[in-house]
Formats: sequence, structure tokens, C-alpha cells
Amino acid sequence: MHVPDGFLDAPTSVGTAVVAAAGVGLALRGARRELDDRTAPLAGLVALFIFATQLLNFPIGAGTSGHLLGGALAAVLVGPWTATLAITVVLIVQATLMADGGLTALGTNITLMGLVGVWVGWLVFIALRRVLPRRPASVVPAACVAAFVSVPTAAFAFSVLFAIGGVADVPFSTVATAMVGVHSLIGLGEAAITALAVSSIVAVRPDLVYGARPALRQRTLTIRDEVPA
Amino acid sequence: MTKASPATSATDPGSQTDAARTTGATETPKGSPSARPRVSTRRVVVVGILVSLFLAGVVSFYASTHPDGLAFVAGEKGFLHSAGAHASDGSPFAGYSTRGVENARLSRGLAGVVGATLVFVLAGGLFLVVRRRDQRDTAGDTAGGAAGGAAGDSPSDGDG
Repeated sequence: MHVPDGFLDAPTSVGTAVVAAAGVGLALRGARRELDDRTAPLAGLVALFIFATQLLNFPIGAGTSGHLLGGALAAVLVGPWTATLAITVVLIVQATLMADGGLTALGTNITLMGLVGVWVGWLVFIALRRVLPRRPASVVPAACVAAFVSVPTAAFAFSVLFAIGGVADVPFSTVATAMVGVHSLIGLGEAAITALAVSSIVAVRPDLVYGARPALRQRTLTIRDEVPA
Repeated sequence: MTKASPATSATDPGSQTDAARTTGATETPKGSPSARPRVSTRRVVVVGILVSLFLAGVVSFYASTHPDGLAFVAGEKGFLHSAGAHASDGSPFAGYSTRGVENARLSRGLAGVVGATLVFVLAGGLFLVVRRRDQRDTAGDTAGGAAGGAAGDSPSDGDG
């Protein structure tokens, strides 16, 4: 979903650039609470993994492909603020070095994938975490659904931007229907890759998974209760 | 590291501080059912890096070359032509292929590995600067934090 130069007019691109800059500025503050000596290298790894996985376009039929966006994945593993920063770094490298995603569209892409993708994914995740059993393993289905939802939502957000500032004159409903339809299929791939990655880390080191920490705190309390008995 | 905190350490030395600090009470009771061998953070990160580089350098060659969701919709709904030429088309790695490398497999793999490495260096550096240095940590960690702080003093960016 890397938006190229030229899809959106200049005022819209400036607008999304302002939104992106504000979001990244907030994330630089917020990430401080999420990152410490132990999790900083893991967060670097998450950025690397997202870049690598975005190279792996998977076919979704009808001559179309999709790839991981990674917002929900990163938010669950290292926290939403850090996730926004990780995806921003990935997008900057892609736009400057790989000519993937326009330079004038960088703000748009950060807004769509680094803000909408991450935060929709995170909000769905914490909503599900609340209703699922309070265990580290519950993180996997919650992340899976969050990943699925985040992709068509980001696609819908693009459709809204296109209605506001799209250079071509295509009706909103036409763009939105097609974008959400195709990206719902891509969302299935997103969900599968996210489930695989999150379950791998949960299996070996649940304490490293940002989204699993409340469940681990709970478990700590349980054990302490049993000690005097 | 060697003259580490006499203050708290019931368990301590060196390698265990990480474990003790993070999961603390989860792992302390001896013979508790959850006492399984612990994979170090370093190992998780190293394995993750190797897997990612393999994906970027080797597997990426086999990725689908169909247009992605947005490009497909743009083509179908007739606004793909509004995309301009990319300002970074002159980059040696534009389009995820390495200029001057004939072999398609090598060209793509090299671009993938270079990009992945750059992302890791930039993101890792950013996160080390942004991260919280825990005041209550042991002497070794404080030294690490001080080093990190020194790195953080130079507001590193070269995007001029």
C-alpha cells in the first residue's frame, strides 16, 4: 500500500506530512516508556523483520499481491509508540533508497501504515486482550485479529484521503469498495504472518512481548499467593 | 560489573541480572513447573536477525511480482497513470534491484540485505538513543547507560 508520488495533490500531501510529523514527535516521547536496555535491540529487530517481510509479496489471486504492513505486529511485540517509529524508519529507507513509496507521499505513507495501521491494530488488540483469558498465549489470537482489521482500515483511510485530495476523479465509493475488498484478502496474510511471528516469541520469551506483560504480572501474583500455603 | 551492587543481590552475578530483573518472581521458586531453560535475549535477537536477512536476501527473490493491492486498484479504477516518476529512481537500489549486478537473484538479494541492514542500524540506533536508562540498575548496566548517553549526546542524523 505504498502510495507513490502524484496520487494525492500537494495540499493533502502537506496535510498528511504534518499529521505524520506530529505523530512521530509524540512517538519519540511515548517510546521512551516502552524501551529499555533489554527491549531496544528487540525493537531494532522488529523494524528489520518488517522491512524483510515487506519484500515478500504474496499472491492473493486475480493478478494481485500484497505484503505485510506490520503495524499490529510491531505494536504487540514492542509497544505502539515504538511501532510507529519502527515503521517510520522502514518507510524512510524504502522511499529514499528503494524508490518504493513516493518522497512527497512519505507523510501519507507514515500516516497510513505507521499511525492508522499501528494504532488501529493496537486498539483492537487491547480490546480483545480484555475479553480473552488473562494468559500470555491469548496474545496470539488477539494480535491475529488486530492484524487482520488493521489492513482494510488503512486501505479505507487511503480512500478517504483520495476523496479529499486524489488527483484523478474517481468516486469515493468506487475506490473505497475496491481498496477495502482487496485489502481484506491481504489482511488474511497479515494475520497469518503476525500470528506466526508473535507465537514464536511468546513460545520462547513471553516476557519480551510488550502486549503480554499484563498477563505475566498477573501470573507473578498467582505464584506469590501460593508460596505461604 | 565485578564490583556489582552489594545492595540487593540475593541471586545475582552477571549473566543472571537480566533474568532476575525482568521476570523476577516468575522464575525464582525452585522446582516450579515454569522453570524451563531460558533463551537469552541476545539469542532471540541474533536468530531473528539471521531469519530476517535470509528472508530479505534469499526468499524475496521468490515473492509475487503482481502489482500490490493499491497498484491493482489504481490500475483497475484508472488512476494509476497519475503516479509520477520516483525522485529516488536514481538510487543504486531503486526498485529493490542493485544497479550493475546482472544476476537477478543476486541483484535483488543484495538490495534486500543492504536495505535490511540499514533499517536495523537506523532503527536500532534510534531506539538506543530514545530508550529509558533505568536508574535502579546494577553497576554494569549503569556503565552501559552512560555509554548510551554519550552516544545520545550527538543528535545523530545525516539526512541533509
